Amino acid sequence: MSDRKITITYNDRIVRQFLLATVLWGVVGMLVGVLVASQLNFWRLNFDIPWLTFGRLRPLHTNAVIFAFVGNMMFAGIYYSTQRLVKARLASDFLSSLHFWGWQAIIVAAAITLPLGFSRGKEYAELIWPINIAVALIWVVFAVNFFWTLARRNEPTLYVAIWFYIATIITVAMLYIVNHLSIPTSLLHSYPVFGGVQDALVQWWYGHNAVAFFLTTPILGIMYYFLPKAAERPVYSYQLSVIHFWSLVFIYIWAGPHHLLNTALPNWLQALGMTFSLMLWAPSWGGMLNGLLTLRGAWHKLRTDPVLKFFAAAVTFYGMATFEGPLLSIKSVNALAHYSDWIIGHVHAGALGWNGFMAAGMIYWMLPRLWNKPLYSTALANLHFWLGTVGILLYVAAMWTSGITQGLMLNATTDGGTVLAYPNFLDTLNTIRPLMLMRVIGGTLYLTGFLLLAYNLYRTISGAQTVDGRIEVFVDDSAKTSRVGTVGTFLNPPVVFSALGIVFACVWMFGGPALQIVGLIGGAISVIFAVAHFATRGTRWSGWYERLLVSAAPFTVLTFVAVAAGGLIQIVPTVVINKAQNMEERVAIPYSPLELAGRDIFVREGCYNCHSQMIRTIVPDVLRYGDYSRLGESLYDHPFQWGSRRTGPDLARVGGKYNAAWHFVHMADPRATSPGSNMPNYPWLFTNRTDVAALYGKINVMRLLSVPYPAMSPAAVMADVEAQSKLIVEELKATQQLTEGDREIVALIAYLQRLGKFEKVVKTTASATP
Amino acid sequence: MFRRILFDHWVAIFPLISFVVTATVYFAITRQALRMTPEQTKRLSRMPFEDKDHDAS
Repeated sequence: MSDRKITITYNDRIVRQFLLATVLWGVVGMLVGVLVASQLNFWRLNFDIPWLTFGRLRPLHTNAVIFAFVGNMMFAGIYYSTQRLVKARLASDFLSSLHFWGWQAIIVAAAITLPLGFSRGKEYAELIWPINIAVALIWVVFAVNFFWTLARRNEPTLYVAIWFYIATIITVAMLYIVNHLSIPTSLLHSYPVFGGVQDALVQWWYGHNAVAFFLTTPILGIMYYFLPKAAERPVYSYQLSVIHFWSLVFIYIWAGPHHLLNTALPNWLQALGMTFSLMLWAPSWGGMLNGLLTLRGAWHKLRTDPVLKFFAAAVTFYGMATFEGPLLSIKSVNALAHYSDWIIGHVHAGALGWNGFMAAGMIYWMLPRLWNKPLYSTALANLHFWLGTVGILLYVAAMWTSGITQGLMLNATTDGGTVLAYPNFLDTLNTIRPLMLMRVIGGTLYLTGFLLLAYNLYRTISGAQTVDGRIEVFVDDSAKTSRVGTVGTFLNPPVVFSALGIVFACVWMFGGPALQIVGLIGGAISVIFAVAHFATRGTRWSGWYERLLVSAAPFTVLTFVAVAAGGLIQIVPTVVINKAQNMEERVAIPYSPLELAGRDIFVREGCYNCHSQMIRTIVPDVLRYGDYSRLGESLYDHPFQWGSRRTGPDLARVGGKYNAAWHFVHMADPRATSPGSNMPNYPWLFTNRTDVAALYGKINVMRLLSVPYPAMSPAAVMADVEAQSKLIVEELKATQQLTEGDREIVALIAYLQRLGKFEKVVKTTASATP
Repeated sequence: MFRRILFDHWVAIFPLISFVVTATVYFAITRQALRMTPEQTKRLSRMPFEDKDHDAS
């Protein structure tokens, strides 16, 4: 072993920067959250201003709390702990700075564009395409900085927290890039390459795994470092952390379809989503138990130490949310809970309890160490904890009660299940109003706690001297020779036999009659050889795995394989098959140019945040909204608008249900047609002119995306728009509602009246060929 | 074949296959973890405490 000793000074400046940004954006994101929650009770808080409506601000809230608050917190925690765990300074101060300032610029861009209505219309993926590119670039900067630091490490072994960070970086890149694939129509607008059920599947593969690999795995890594440090106790079971890690990253990816249960999504995908979500309970609780049991012998410290209070509560809320999630993924439970406030309660138990409290604990622990000064007030930190806890409990209890009430009322039937017990949607909304208000109070308490944190931080760092950590290490050059090289990454028994098994399985599943036999026999032989090899030379398998633990690149590759598998199996068949010629019963009719313009207005205003467009395959949905939605009916929807929440009724078959005048009045003042509604007014739709000039380019992009539009010249598009506008204007005029044909309200009415229309397909029997 | 994936009932075998694969991965990793020696687990779990920073903590 070398006796070369070096002194390393960590780059804690970047940690301090990310920490401060965390607190700033956390307060901003939570403030927007309290505002939008208040808007649901008091519609006047939309102020008749387009950039303050619920539909535009809710995406700002979600993006702010996920990417700005948790994102900055994650980077602070990862950079602090990684340097210390690998005993190396961050590889590049330049990349670190670029990462920080680039990420803040993205947040500012989001804060400007989202209220202005520039949105892709997909949840947690609303940001427009130039910002998507910026996110991908900055994420690459982060990845390079991180992996370069690992390459320069002086500690050969990778602690489990590093595994979680690796999984985060790789998987978020994969998810983000695939779900944000779009064709631009302008600098500020694009259509996603996926449509209909493809888009739904890709969106929730991304959306659920944004929760998994942005809100869970990096925070688990942070838990595995900061909780032992704060408790001054090693992690309860390192073996459990190994099992927990691999089972979590493999299983999580498959759970996306649980957001689409009882919809038009094929049943085999729903079954996969449900079963994997249920299996996910075990590894999630593995992490929870590991965290809580690490506090063995340190529970008495919770009385006085706010950091441990936050960590213990965070892990407890994590356990609660990861029990609730699998429960909600059971189809029959989901039939009640989907689209209701129960889902919101589940999300916020995790977000406020797990993410928010881990952030608070980490910040309170780091503050004195990064600024070399004791925390200004432990009493304030304890007060923050209690305010936050009460806030969460109020919030979650309100949403559980509200969600179950909604589910029961909206699904209730009488007369032998043939008639809805509460046919008026607004009856349900009015019943849950007190609970929505209770949610506002809970959220406000939680925000108040974070304001206390901000004040405590300010008083702590005022006049304090910053300090960067230092350590002296002995450099051991021989450690690098024991790492697995590129060849060893792939040519080793576990990987080779697994690959053979997968290849033969695919040949069996997708081949013709002869190939099926080859696949079956080949797969069986592979399994037999693998078992025999393991029985006789199992130590080689173990030896390879031990070397993997000190080899960042191969570890990363295998993590990628683990997370890519679920996505490939779930998404590829749907992408291949989702074509018009394979649709049964019904297929969509492409939107007319005016209807397309109206659809883009629907997306711009964020209507999908309150209104779904997916009638589920359950009796109450069919009784309330009409025939259940078929796969083919949303085939050309780029983006899909199935929705995930019903603050208002489903709109899948609203076309023709009301006349144009009803929609005209409803958009001006929803309470004029629907007393008690909490929907905002949309007066600007009556003065803004529809952007008809953009439609020619938009239709060309749609044709690129295989939507069967005929080739149309700009003049033809204009003529089509004018003809359809004229009809709507005349219909409105007949009912004394006057407007010009070029106003956005006309386009929106055209779109809404189109919903539910489809073309019938002649039924064919399934064939044996793809 | 692809058409059958979407529309016919026999595709219920896919969740079963997926479950078997997952169980295999799980048991393989569990076996590997249980074979770790006490010295290994002790050393690894103490890694967060090896950074004796020259700072206020």
